[in-house]
Amino acid sequence: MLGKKERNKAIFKFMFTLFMVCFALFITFYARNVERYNTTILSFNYSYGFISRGLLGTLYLWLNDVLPIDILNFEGVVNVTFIATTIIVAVLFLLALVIVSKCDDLYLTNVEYVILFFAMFFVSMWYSTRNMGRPDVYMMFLTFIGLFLIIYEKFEWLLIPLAILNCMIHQGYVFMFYNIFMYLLAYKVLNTTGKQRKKYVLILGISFICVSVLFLYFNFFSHVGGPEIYDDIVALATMLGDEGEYFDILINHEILGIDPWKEELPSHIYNFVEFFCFSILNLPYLVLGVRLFKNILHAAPTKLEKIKYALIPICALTIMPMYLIKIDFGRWVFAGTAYFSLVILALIALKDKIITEELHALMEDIKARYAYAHLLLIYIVTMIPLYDIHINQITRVITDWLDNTFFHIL
Amino acid sequence: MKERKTSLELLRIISICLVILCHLYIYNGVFYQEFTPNSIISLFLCAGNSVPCDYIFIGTSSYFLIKKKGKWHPKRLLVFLALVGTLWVLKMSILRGLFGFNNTEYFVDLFLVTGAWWYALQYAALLLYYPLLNKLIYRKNPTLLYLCTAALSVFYLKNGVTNDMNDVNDLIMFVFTYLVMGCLYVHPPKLKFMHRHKKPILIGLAILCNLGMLISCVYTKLPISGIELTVANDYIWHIIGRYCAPAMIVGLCMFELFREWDMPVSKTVLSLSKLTIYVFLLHETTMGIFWYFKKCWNTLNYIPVTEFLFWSAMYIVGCFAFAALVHKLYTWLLEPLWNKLIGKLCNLYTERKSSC
Repeated sequence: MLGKKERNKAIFKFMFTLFMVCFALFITFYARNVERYNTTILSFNYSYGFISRGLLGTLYLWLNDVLPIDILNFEGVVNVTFIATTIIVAVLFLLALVIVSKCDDLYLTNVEYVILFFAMFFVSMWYSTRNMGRPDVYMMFLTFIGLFLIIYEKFEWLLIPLAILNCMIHQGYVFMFYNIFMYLLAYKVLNTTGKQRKKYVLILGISFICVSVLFLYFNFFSHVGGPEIYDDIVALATMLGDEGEYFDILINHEILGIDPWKEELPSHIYNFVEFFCFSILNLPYLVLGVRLFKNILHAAPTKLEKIKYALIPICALTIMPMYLIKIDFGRWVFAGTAYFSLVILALIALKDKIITEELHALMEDIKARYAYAHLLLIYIVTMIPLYDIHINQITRVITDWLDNTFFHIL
Repeated sequence: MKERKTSLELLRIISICLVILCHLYIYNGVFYQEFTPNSIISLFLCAGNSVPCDYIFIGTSSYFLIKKKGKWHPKRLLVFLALVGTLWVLKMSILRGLFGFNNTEYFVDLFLVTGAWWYALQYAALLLYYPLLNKLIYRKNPTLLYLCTAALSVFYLKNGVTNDMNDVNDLIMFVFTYLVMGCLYVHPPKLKFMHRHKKPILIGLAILCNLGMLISCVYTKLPISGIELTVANDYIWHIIGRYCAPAMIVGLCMFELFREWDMPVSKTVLSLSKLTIYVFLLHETTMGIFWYFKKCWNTLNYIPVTEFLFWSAMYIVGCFAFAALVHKLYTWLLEPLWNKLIGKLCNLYTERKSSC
């Protein structure tokens, strides 16, 4: 048992390490650039009606009205995106601090490893050129806010508007990140009784219905007035893009409802080969994950408890449709990583005994059995940053090689 | 204290000078711009010499790793990663500080950021997997070793033709060179003639390959050859590419010749050789500093010959001076901290290994 002073010192040491690692990743991967598919999305806004992915653009136009400087240009997008991403990373640090301060001394080190693992993926990905300014990072921000509410068990009804806002940022939220709220609410439903349970059932039910309705609306009914607003959106996207460039595929898809599925098919097949390579390279972490859930289910004493923990991998399956219908496997891999990391960390902060003890036992077991277990933390460096269509550089190079030598998909 | 062979350390110093010179000329387009005396001088210096230096480094590392028969220990890898990680952050901080975060004007992101760090990545990987290769090399029956080497040689030679430089092909190059070294040093060919005339054969092979690369590169560049610039450049690009088989032959021959040379101990050589890794990892940063002040910039091909030679020499001196400064600071400030951490990790490793 650590004294208060020693505990604070240990937490400070960890936060300093986290900061230094994230700073090194920032220096390495930040490229002061926002790609055209991320500038184009800022041209979608609600002055054209309730269109899909319109929230960020609306907020951006509002910011332009409020600020004394003109940010309706590429330079403005780059600056605002940088500031926003940095704020979101700061919120991640705060979340890390909350989690470690809620964690018991015995488990502190192993929980810190999980936070480092997630932070390395997070910072490297959202500062790098391909993903800087992607809507996903803003969805992550709102998810972090939701996690604070869940951990502190205050104003949890706000999860409903948070989920709705996330859906308005990008309807893909339903598959990518909603599972984090969904699981944690389901966990609370199973963990409580009486009025409390009813409250969580209500929050879960309403948020689920809201995001489902919004998803269906944005995907199938929001393109009706597309042709009328097309030119205006292109004009705004041209203003925001680097040297006037914009991403026409995105506008065609979101505004006119033209699905690029056919053009994306070869890349999609390529993605599956890449995902196979990624899975093999990630085997150490996959094996650890599978073992962890096996141990957790084994440790759960009652049937209800078993269901509670079995829901963790089951809720992760919401990401599956993204793998099947869309390219951008790098983002789906991040969604999976974020789901498992954040759910486990939230449960630790909620003082779930089984999760905390099993995670600790597994990591101690691995460290005792494999003397080189610490290398797993270094190994992540080869996996980052996650890209978009490609998963990461290593899998890209390997798949390119396989494709050029054997498959000839692209 | 690690025992060092002066001749091999001297070879490392010469090699690093040629490697960084080659990068200076490549990044400034000297090899690829039209014929000038400077482009010919640069080809003379580098065409047949610089890529062999890569193989000299791989060969040297392989030679010592093959000799390590004990069990794998993470210390070497961790020490290397600590140094590489620190220098990477330093390099990125300097380059970003000088040129900003998205600079395409000076080819900073294209050349200096990733640059030659592929070697560091591959070497770190080699430190992880070399025990597996050693198992293959030390098998009583070397047939499997020969088969693997032959199979890899197919990919290696194919890569030499396509010159498609990427991590997978780099890995093939490293493993292939390692296995070739294994074949040569653990299962040496049993030809009496080869043993009797080893030195002249090695010198002959090295000169033959070196001159072949050098003369052909220079000839394609000369106006009298009548070869179009794009065709000439494509040829040179293959010769100074990483997977050039003659370069490998030159590199390994040079390594063997220097290994056999019983050179007297020289303190200067030994202390300079300690800087080679710093020079290698930081030479692009030094180039960035030169570029920032518009020196050694892409007008290099068009300045007078004396100036060209002066700035090439200044660049080498600059690289070593910067490396010496960083080496001093690193060993003084950071190394003790890293050593503490690595020591703790290694103790953990040893404890757990013994309890496993």
